[in-house]
Amino acid sequence: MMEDLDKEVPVFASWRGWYVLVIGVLLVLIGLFFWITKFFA
Amino acid sequence: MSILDWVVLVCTLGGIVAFGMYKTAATKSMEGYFLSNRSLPWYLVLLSIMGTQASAITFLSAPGQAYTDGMRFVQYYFGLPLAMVVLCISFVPLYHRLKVFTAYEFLEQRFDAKTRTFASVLFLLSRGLSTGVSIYAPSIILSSLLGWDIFYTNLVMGSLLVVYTINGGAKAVAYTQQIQMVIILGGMLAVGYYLVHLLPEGIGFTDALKLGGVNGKLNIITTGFTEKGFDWKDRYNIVSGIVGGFFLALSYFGTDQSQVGRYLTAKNVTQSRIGLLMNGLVKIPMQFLILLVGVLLFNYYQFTKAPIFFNTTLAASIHNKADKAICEGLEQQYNTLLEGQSSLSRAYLSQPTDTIAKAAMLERAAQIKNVQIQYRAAIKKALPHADTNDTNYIFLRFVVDYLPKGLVGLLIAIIFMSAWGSIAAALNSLASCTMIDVHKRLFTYTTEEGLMEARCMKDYRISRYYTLGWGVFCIITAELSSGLGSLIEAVNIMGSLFYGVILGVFLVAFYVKRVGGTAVFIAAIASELLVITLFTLDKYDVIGLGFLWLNVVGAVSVVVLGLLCSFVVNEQKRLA
Repeated sequence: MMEDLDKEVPVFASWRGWYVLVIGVLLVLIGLFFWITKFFA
Repeated sequence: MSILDWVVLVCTLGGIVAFGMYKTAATKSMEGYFLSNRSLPWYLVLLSIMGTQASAITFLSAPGQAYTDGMRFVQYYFGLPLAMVVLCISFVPLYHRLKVFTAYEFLEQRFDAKTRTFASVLFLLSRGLSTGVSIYAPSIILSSLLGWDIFYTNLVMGSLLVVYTINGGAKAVAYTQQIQMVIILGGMLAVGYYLVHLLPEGIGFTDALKLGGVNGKLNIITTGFTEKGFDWKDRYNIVSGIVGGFFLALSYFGTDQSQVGRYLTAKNVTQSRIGLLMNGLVKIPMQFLILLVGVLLFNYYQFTKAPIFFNTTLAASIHNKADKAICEGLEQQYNTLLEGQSSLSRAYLSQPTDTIAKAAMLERAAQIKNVQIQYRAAIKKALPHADTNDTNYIFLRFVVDYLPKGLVGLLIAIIFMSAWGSIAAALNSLASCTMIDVHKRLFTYTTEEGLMEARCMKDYRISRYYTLGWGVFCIITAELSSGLGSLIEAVNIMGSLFYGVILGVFLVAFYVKRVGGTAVFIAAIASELLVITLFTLDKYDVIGLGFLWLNVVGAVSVVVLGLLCSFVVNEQKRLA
């Protein structure tokens, strides 16, 4: 049953795509915040 | 408050209660009442998760936090997206597959009844008390600034939401949180826009960022490292934010029923996952924007006279005391220092490379801060039991003093709604935990076909009584909190003392299959003692350890001790 539910993944081919997106956005935000901190310090 | 503000406040709050009553009559069964028949789409799950996490204090104190300490508080949320990923991989599919009502049900299936009881009692105790305090904390600020009676403020803060929560259960909680979050975020954006609009002529948004940066308010990323190495006592830095924040978020979203109950309302695993992952995407930017409001507020007060102490009611009360002369002297000194502040800021902005202008502005800021510290000390001396931390008053003081009529009422309504969102979810989860983990285990029924419908109705009615009971308990806790300032601190600390250990129990349940119920129970008790010991040593300055690290210690300790105990304790394993 779980395998069937796992197949229902919107936008990406698998859930791994979503996980990479979430972690990628986190890294981009940290990079952006680091730049803002340095630029305006 | 003006009549228009009162109209906006009453209409907004009345509208939410009416909407909750009209839209969300619950199915008369426990699944309908506690889990909305597992039918909600991901966007309602997302707004419900966000509305549950964001209490009134979040919106009251975050801008004040940025005003005083800068934006580094945002790092506290860096572990949250990672926790969302782990939850979606491990926790969510299992909870859905087992069709549990509460997270603690799973512990009995995996371990035994005593481990389930241990976790659910810790939850009921800590969440029950902290919900009472989350009624009291915004009430005391509102009553202090607006002159309202604290008894009635607590009553309104804690009682109106009970009406729709009893009636509609989890569905009412989710649907009202949807409206509440939209109004809250819209209101905060309006305040941000208004703050930029209020800046004097010739000072733009970029100038505001420059001023904030040079005054140390845009310290978004801090490492926590000093000349002496890593500062373990430093609360907010990138290391404690990612590691400690990850464990805290994993524990809160994975094991606290007030959150688990939100994403179990989703119609399937996919909807739960999308709701949680979207939370991982939007939470940090949202918190960043709320903190940015605090930086804009700081800039506004570079060109407008800020109060020497933002809890002006407390400041006024000291004028009847013996230290009146000292305070008046400090106020005079403060006003003199403020006079040149605006021109010093303008001089820096016109010549940002001029080190003399920059030094002069920063020196003046330091002098102003020094007078404020002396003023707080004077208040503390005159009123030893008073809370001289005015961070939570900064944002609301600005709202009351400077926002136009109508918007003040809306902002006060936002404070109520953000409180209601988290309190309603807490009441629903407290009732579900009491019903499922305590009541249903103590009172077992036979399940003959003909009696099923009557049984469902009875369970539904009892569940409503538990919601009402917890509502009354939390309001009483809020009323008793008046005058017991230390209780708030104690309850807040209690959460961080238990979260890590409960998470450790769940981590063992998910990932360490060889550990059984008795081993994990012994490990949980020993780890709890370890966490309490470390906390006590930190309190008495024997060691230095920020509270986020207690979550890491508690969780890791349960896993390690559980594994060690499993080699000693011989027991039959029950795998879920």
